[in-house]
Amino acid sequence: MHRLLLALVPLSAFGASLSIQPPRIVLHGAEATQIYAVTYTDNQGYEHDVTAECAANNVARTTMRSVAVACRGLRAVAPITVKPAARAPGISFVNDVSPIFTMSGCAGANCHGSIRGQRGFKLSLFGVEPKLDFDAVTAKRIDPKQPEQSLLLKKATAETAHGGGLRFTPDSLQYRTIRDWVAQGAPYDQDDTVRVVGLQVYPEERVLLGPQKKQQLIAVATYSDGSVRDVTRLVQYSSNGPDTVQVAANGVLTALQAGETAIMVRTMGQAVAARILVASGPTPTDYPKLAVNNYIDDQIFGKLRRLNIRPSGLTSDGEFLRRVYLDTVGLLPTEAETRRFLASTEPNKRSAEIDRLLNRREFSELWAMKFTELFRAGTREAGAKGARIVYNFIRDSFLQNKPYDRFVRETLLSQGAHSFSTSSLEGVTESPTSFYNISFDSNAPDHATNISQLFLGVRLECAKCHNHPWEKWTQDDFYGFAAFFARVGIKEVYENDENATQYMEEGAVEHPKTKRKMVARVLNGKLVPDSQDSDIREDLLAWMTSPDNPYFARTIVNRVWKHYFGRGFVEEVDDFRVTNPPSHPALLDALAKDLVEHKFDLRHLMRTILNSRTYQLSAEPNESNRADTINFSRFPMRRLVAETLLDTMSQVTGAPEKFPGYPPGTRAMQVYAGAGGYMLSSFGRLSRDIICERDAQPDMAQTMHLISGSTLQNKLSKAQLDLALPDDQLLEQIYLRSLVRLPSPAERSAVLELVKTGDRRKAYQDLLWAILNSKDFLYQH
Amino acid sequence: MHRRGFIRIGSIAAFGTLSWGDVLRLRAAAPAKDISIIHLWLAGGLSHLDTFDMRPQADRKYRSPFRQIPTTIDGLQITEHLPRTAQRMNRVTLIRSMTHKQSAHGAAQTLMLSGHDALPTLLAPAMASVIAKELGARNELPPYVNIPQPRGNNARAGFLGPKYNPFSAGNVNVPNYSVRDMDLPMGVDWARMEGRHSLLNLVDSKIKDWDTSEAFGTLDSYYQSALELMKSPRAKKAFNIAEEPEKVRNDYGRTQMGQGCLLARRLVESGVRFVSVGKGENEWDHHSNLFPAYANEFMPELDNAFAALLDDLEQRGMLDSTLVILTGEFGRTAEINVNTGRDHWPNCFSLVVAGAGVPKGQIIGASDADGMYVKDRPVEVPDFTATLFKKLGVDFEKEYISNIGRPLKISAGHPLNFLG
Repeated sequence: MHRLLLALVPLSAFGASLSIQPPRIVLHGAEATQIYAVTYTDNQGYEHDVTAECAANNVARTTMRSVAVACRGLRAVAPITVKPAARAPGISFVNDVSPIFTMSGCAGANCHGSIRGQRGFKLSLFGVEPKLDFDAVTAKRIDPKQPEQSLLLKKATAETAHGGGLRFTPDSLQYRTIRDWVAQGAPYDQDDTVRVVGLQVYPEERVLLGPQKKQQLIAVATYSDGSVRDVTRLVQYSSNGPDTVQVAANGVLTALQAGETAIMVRTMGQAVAARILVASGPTPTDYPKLAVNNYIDDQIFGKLRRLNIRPSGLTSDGEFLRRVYLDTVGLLPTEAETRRFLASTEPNKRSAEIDRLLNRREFSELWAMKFTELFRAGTREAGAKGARIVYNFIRDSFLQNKPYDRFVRETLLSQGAHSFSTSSLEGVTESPTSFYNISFDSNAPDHATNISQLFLGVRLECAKCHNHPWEKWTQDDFYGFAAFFARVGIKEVYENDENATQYMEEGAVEHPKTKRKMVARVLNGKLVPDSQDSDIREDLLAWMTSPDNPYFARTIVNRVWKHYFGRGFVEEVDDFRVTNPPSHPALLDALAKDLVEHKFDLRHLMRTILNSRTYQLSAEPNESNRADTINFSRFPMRRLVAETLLDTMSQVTGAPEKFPGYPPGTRAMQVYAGAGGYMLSSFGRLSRDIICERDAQPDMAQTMHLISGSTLQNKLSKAQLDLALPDDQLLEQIYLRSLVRLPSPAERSAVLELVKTGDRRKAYQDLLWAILNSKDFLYQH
Repeated sequence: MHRRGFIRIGSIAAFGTLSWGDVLRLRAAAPAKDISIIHLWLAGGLSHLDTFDMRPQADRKYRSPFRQIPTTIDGLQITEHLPRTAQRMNRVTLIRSMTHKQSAHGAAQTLMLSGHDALPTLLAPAMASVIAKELGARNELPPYVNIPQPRGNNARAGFLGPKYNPFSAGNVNVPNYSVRDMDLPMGVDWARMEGRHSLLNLVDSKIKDWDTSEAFGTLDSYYQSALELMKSPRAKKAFNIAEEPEKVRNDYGRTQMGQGCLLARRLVESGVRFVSVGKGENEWDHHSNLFPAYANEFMPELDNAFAALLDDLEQRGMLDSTLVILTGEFGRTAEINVNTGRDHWPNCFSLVVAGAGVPKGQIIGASDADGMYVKDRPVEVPDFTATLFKKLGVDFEKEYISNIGRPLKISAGHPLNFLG
């Protein structure tokens, strides 16, 4: 029912209404209470927290069956269900006291929840081990005869010197709870197996209309015995963007400035997030009507409208052409291609260009480079040959427009020699068998880490060493997933020193603590027992690539989106979790659904993205969207990747780069192995030791290399300049080839001045230097 | 059953917003001397059993063919192949009980250089990058220089971002050494470079305000700093190792470590905070033919570089403010393998440290009979790095939040009490 509140709805569709959160109230026993919030939805669809106003009007009518409020001439009712008390009376350590340590920050990883504890007092991280916490707390830290004199309380209230300072005051609920529990004799729960198994926050999404607007969050926990309870004041709240929205310990949000953030809500190993948007104000009636190309624009522009942000205008033809070339094939258009495109009056010329580019060989090479790096191919024994095989396999997969699910399947099932690869899979000639051989001691847990992060966007590896602090992943989940790869082995082949990946006769993964042999289990799902005559990775793949898998399609959609926009809906791009919600959940879902419906055709996905008006917006900010960095209200600028930078520098100067060990004419985008030279590595090409996204931030060494380094100097000295051309034409040629635009009058006259006063070739070299050092050239825009 | 007062309760934000990090920030950092560090980085792993912790009585399978010689500490003997170092042991602290659990180069180097265990989820910043961030540059020279260049990610800034990556000085032991990209290209003078720069500004005049993510501003500031560095007479002088008299250069040794240490001294003199000096790619990883390699190349190179550096710093009055560390990422196995090499051994190894108030002529810890495990006073790596941070006045209990939101204290170790 609450989902109704989340949907992106057209603004004019509403009449005003009133609602109560939570929409249904369940109370267990006579002592149970529930905080509720009242929401007024105005006729523009904006929601307002009117709880205080309703309370002031003293209009709440509570019966055994429902609570009803009336406000602003409207009425809302929430049904109440009263159930028998779920637990013994009195304060429970597990469910009342222990959560206080999490909500007050005591059980955080940087405090008493750290592995070493803090000053001899160690709590389990976020309260996942209440018995251990009970033992720690009752060891000299409480005084049942004089509860107020308990060290625990004196420290937390900073009455006694406390490195962690004041955590709560003596008049707080936390204080009273702990004091009363101590006064009861500090008992431990007779049944400590009742745990929080679910957490719900209300509202899950909300637009706050401008700074200082407030909103009460409500948290309701579900327990393993089926009972529910208001935990609004027992959870820890934290804002991912405290500059945008502040959250108080009682769950009241305050908007500070326009923007968007997630509020994390945590208790006892459970975490959820509420997405809070702050608009600068209600959408005015003169908000422009925006043209849309496809459903991407409906979603992106719909949200911008709600946030009262106006997108930038459509990019010019020249800017579009440069952008789409760099993003799809990693090259600049030639002068002839540019002139032809600019001169064309075809109404569909942008779409036609997109189709042409998606079928160029360089498109497949660009994605081959990207995945080769993600697969960290070419490290260790597989070396350059292994990397070449991986690169060729990926490139050929893209050339054939192989469905993404099949591509992943072939990758994960590949086996055989790393350097003389032939495949056991039908129809595959070369396969990336060194995928499993990233480091010399790669094992099942490593594969679990890589594969979950690469293809499912889930970072399981925290759970390798400890239960994930913000997510539900436990060590059981991690080692259960790892068990799918228990029988993946690297066979040493001494004759030619080139090893092979094999699916072994046997193999097992052990839980590091319990030492029990793990049965393979898909994330959140079914167990898959090992069997001698089958490869259980098949079962894993069937689960991964099934149309309703919640991770697989969304992860590749997010990666592809990030490629074109420099930012995923989810950032980091492989860190999907409840507490890191996407910026556009409905659009992410829609694109994933579209991809599945089109049989994982990545070109279809890319074509949809490239044809959207969102992709074709100008990068130039306007007054309304200058501060926006996450809603795609203009084309986000980003530095070109290392390979594209080097290849386009070669294009502009007509001086190709030479790569040792590769044939002449090889472009950087085809250099499948190794660092590829100083320029590439200093501009972010990875060593492939770890999975990570490239860092596109500038640094000092890059800057110095552009200013005076050999890469550019060699190209400038060999630059092909058609000095026979008159200056006007030569100037235009250089600008079209490098920046895909004509020089401005100021640029024209400055260069002509320079040409007049000195050596002509030197003057044009200076111009090329300036262009190749400019943001106009270095950045995608 | 439903209490109205519950609908709205007073804010209890007074404590709710004060985080542990805030509390830590409120603590003033302890005042400390302005100390620099020169790290002789023996990447690959120095054999403690053939250098500083020999076992002349061991079984032939284990025993080093090298002889021991007396040193300036009574009762301490070290390898015959470090004769100059032997004469200077009364000026250093020798720790013979370093210990950790990482036996692969990558993970061990991460631990030694950052003080943190290598985790797939964490690109921990190198200690030197943390120093660069926390203490900043002293002048236009970069705060952290790596000679010749960092290998892999573990000498870099990790999640702190590229701003705190080391500046690579390259291989110093080449004729006509110069730093990459520091000089203007042939045929370009500053007048022409300024002309180029104003053209650049003209090209960017349209889009210079388009980016609001600060990357543009950062890029501009790098152009500024890069040009300042290139123009700086101080930087030019610091890197101009040819200025040194022939006698001094030969005293350090015409080797990568030798000339690297000499350059390190010049850089520290000019304001650099942390210089790492190495031989490149895991050169010290002697799985085979260890003994001739040590005797003919590695020991003389190290001996001359380290001894000359200590003397030079002392003569210039810089040793009180310069900490010199000599270590690899681990030691090597007691048993000599079939290829007459020794393999990786992190359980017990030696480290030498001198200067900046470190006690002179001190020996800490001891290994067991075979030199395989720590017998006395184990020294954990995080405690060692915490000691360095404390010496430099870095608030090592401060907490960073990594790129994926994982909290990480600068150091989780506890400073050692025996390093002054």
